[in-house]
Amino acid sequence: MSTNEMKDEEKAIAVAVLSAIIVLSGLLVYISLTPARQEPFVSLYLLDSEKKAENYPQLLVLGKNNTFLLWVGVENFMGRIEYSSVLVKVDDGTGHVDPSPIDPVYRFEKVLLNKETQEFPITTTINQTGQHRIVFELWLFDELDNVFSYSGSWCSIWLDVIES
Amino acid sequence: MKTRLWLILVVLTFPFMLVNPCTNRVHFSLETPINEGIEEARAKFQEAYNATVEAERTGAEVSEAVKKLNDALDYIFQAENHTAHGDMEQAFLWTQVSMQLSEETLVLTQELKQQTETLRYTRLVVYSVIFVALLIFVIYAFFIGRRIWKRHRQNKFMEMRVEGTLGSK
Repeated sequence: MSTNEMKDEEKAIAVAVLSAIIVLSGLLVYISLTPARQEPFVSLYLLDSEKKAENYPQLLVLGKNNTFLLWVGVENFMGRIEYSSVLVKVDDGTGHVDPSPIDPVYRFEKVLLNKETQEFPITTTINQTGQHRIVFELWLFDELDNVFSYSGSWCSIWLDVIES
Repeated sequence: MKTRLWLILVVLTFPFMLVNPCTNRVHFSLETPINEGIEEARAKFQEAYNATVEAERTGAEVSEAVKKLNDALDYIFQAENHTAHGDMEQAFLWTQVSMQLSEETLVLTQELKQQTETLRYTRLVVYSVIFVALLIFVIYAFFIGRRIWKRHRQNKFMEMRVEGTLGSK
């Protein structure tokens, strides 16, 4: 093999190795820069009157603090808009939940953009003594069937109501 | 005698039928009476929502449509509240406003879908033109380069021959 042919072969190998390095580094950069696909989810949370997860009402006294304010938050990370409905149900704590079969006493509806959070104020008055449970359920609208279906997200708060 | 007994039974039972079985529970002010107008407004709203979902699926920016949808929803709730208080006239007005908004949302989503499709088509054409232009440029550069390289080699060869001839002298 002549020196010229040797040089040509070396050049060809160098070009091939360089191309492979460029392609591989391009792929590596692409993979590292592309964010991992997030699992779509919706969530429901409950806050006190000052929008903090601290001072939830627990003991209510009739005629004193039996009217209280809570905030219910809904987060949409489904990767699309969602027509959400928050159902507020009240029972004595013995009933089934997730979802509760009883009729809602109140409901909120909102269309949420992707990655949007909405907080709804709920002012409630309880006039009966005893133990009560307020259940909040998140339902999402299914546009294929034109009905709301249960999202699986719920939260609740227990309240003891006594006479003054 | 038998009829009178039945009558007494009915009279005694009737008040119990009127009593809400949940009387020991917590009372809330909400009741959601549904009338034809509200149902119609909800149907229109759902139609607008479905159109918005479809527009978003095509890649359109739907935040304005969602704002309108939420306004339409608020008006439906207003109509429901007015119906609960027996103010049917106001309820009718709110349902009309809600339906108007849903209608506007439908038109808006159509426009958004068209805009997105036009944008996508334009982008496709522009990218295709750029790709073809780049391809032509690369091919052209390859041939021009090869010609220049050949000429360069020939010149070099000629120079070597001249140098060789001069050297032999």
